[in-house]
Amino acid sequence: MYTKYYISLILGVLLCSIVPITVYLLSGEKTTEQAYIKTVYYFEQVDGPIQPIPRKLDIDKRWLTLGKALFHSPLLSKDNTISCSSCHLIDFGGDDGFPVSTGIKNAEGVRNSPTVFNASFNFRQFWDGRASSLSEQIAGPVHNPTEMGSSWAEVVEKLNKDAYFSKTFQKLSPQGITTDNIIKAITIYEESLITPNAPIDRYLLGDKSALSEQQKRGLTYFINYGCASCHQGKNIGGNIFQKLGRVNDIPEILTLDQGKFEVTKRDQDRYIFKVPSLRNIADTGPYFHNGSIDNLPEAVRIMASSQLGRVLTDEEVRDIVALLGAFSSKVIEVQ
Amino acid sequence: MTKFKYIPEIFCLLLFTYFSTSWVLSIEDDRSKKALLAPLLTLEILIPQHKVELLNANFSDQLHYDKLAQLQFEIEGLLFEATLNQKSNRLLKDYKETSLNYIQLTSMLKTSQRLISENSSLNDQKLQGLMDAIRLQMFAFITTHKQEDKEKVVNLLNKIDTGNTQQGNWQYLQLIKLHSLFVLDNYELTASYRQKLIEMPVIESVIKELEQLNIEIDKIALKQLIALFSVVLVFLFLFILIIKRHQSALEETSELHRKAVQVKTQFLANMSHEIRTPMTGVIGLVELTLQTDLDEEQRDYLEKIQFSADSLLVIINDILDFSKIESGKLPIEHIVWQHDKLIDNVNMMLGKVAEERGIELIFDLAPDIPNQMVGDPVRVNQILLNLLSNAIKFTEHGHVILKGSIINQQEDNNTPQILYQIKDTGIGLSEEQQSKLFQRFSQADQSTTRKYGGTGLGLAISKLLVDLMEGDINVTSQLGKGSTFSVHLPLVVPDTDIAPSAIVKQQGMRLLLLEDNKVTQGVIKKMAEYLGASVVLSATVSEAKALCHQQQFDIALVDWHLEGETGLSFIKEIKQQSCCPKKFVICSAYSQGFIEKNSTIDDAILYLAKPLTVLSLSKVLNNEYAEINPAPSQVQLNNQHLQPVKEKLAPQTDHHNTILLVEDNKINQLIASKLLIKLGLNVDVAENGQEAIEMIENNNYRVVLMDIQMPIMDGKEATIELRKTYSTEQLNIIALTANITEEHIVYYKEIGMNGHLGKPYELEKIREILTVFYSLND
Repeated sequence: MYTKYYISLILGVLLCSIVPITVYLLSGEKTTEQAYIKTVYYFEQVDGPIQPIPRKLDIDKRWLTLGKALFHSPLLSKDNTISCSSCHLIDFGGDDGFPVSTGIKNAEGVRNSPTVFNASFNFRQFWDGRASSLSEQIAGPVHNPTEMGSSWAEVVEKLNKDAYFSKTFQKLSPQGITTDNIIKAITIYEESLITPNAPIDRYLLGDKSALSEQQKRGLTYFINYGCASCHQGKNIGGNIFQKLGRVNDIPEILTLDQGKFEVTKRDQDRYIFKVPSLRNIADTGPYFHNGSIDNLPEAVRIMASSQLGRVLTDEEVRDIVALLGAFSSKVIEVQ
Repeated sequence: MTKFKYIPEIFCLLLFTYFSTSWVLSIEDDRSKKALLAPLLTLEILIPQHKVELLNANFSDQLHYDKLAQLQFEIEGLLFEATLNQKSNRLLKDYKETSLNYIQLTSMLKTSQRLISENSSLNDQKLQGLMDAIRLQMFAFITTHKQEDKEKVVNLLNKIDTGNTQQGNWQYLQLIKLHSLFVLDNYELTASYRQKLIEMPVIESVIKELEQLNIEIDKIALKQLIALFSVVLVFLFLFILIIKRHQSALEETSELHRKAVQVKTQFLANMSHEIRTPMTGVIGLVELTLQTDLDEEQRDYLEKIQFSADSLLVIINDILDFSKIESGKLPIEHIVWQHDKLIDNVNMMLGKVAEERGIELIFDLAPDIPNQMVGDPVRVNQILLNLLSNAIKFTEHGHVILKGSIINQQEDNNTPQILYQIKDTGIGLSEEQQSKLFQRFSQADQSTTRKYGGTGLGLAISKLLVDLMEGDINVTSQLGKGSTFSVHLPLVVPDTDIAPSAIVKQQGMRLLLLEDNKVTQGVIKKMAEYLGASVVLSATVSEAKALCHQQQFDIALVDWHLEGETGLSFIKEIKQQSCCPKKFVICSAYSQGFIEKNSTIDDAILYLAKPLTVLSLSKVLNNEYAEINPAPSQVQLNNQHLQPVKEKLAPQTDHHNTILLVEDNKINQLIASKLLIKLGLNVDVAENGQEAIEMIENNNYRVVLMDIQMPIMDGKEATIELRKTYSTEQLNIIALTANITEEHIVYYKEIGMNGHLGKPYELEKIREILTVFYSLND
């Protein structure tokens, strides 16, 4: 006579337990994360303002491959014509060689495309440093009407229809194609685009023959004259903000864009830009934020004058330009 | 409706759901809060590092800001994950901005300062002097931060003419001027930034946030604990609920059981009456019929019917007794009773049966058994009868001894006990049989029922009775040899001790015993020697005769039934001779009447019933028996037993000898009337209570025998009615009832009855009660 009572009681308890269990399962979603190899750089320290780029790194190749595919996929733009690589050409120094870039429907941009190479070593992204990481930067071009003019929702939808992408995403993550996963893939790919073993790096790491005499002289000027007070670190720049026209006036053509001020609207932020990296500078013209200076010697002169108040001799310019050439290298081969 | 019964359970389940959900939620909370903890902890580490790097930035050996940038980067990344309150957020943002600005300025200031302080070797002495002065002043300004120093530097700088680009040192001068101006413009700002950065309580705010978070985490942990505890409590409640349900179910069942017991008791009471009424009829009528003219065959059949009816009554009484004891309704009396009377009763019931089967029934009772005891004689009688009749029943040949003795102070007992042992030489019991013996309905062997009859309840009842009397009963036995049943009963002696029946010792009496049974010989010898007589034993007539020739005896005890001969022949023979003992006593289990009928001696012979007791023996030795049985008249046949009893007709008009019988059942009327008439009374009959009241009003009766169950007005109502007019002294009302449970007896007394008689009617009992009021026939 009691079995019925007990059974119904036990059933009752089980039924009631369903409520907390579902609550638990529902809220426990976010913690699940597919294990993936986090990118690790093997930095080498040397004395001096300039630091070498790591020659070795750990990276998740599956995500990298996916990221590469995404980087080169025009599906990220509204009319499927523009991809990341349209403005950040991997084979040509990581930028597009135009003063400003062209987006969908031939819309013209405002600023010069910075190189994607070594961008992961910049402490901020964009000329005005408004994105604090690579991941944050990606949303910019995707949503910018003059660049890709799309939105994450559209992108996700388009990617879902693509057989390769949907399959690969599923393999890598249980959530499939999500904004976070897209960003993750692209970021990992970008993290792999580093250019170690430039002549300057080899020089700094001990190979004194890596630089020619001229370049060595250029280096001396670079450091002594104070170029290296802003263009320093592993990226030879890219780690502080600085005012363009610190000591002296800048040419008018550079005054149209007021840099950080455009974002923060604070007086003290006028003409404040992130110090760009000088790595691969020889391959990433035109120069300055609006790409208005198309040759290095002129750029050097302008910099020396406005930032350091110095008028350089031709010889000095040539030496420094020679040095700048030593900042270039190829993208690392990922094993 | 039954749904509502389970509301507590449902409530418990709901509570369980609530608390367990709350618990799960708090786990989640805890997890998310802990997740928040991690970035804050990292911030706590990174921000000081950042500050250190920052404040070190203006040192000249800080050549690059990678580390600072790295920290900055990490901190900003963390700020995304960490949720801080508005104030902290703003503070950190401010810190971030200020530090960026600071770095901007500091990096350039360092360069500029370096440039300015570089030793210049100029040809121009004046310029050199100016340069030194500027340097000094610059240094002063940097140290003192005073406006005047600044102005001094400005003055000095103005002395430098950079208009003339053709100057040899123009480049240098230009540089110095530009950089100095830069320094002057920005130094204070930078210093203020630095100060601000130093003072900013970023770390403190992060730490405060951490504290806050930790407090919240603690709160959640507490909440978790409480929720968990509550879940446990809820389960406990549920458990208690289940137990309570069990309890109430059990109570229900026990209530049902109680009701069942009540029904059973009621049933018992009803059965008691229902069964006894027809039994009374049967037994009574058979008795009456036997007293009429019958031929041999009819008499035989009726005697057999009587036997069956008696057996049936025994069985019924057994069953009712058993039920009563089991339901705890059997009271054990504590009255004073005579031990010898009880033994006599046992004797009377069983002596003849034993003799008929050819078994010797012997009583061996210790002389120190007190004659008066406190207890329930009826039950003791029942037990002894049961055991003895079993012994006789299961013994083919040999003897059955009833041995009684007193056991004084045992180690663990405080009260003395009386021990009855019933030893027989019967079929015996095996070990297994012994173990099951006292359980109801189990006779030792299934086949015994067929062979020996009986319900099997006797021993079980005996055991129950012994237990009720706080005694002990057990058995030892050997298969085929015989059994010994032992009954221990507590011995309680009444305070007022009437002197035991005089057992007078006869010193020096010489006694000849003619008895073939060895055991009996031993017992009687013991008894006689206790009484002070000297005993000589003989087993055959010739032996006895020989002994008589040898010595003179005062008295000869002769067993009637000897092997191959009777004691009678001895008496006859020895009477011829001169050496015959002075007195003869015939011992037999057969009744006195039977002996007298079958003996052909006309001389006075004393009779002693077997089994002997010390008392009876002492009486005989004392000549007491001589008084009671005048020899000659008793030798004649008592014709009364053969002739039917004629009714005493002619009812006397003297109502002093009239009794009112109130009974509705015709058969019972008949039987009762007959019995009363036999006692020499006149009987008036009323059919029911109503009639009875009328008749009582018209006539004067000393005693009214009132049946209880009657139509129109029953005995109880009638009594109550009568007692309104007549008191208990004026009118004696005796209840006639089959219901002899204690409750009923008490009730009858309460409503005013003077006594009660059970059914079926027992002559002796009726006589006992009525003798007080009437002069009765014997």
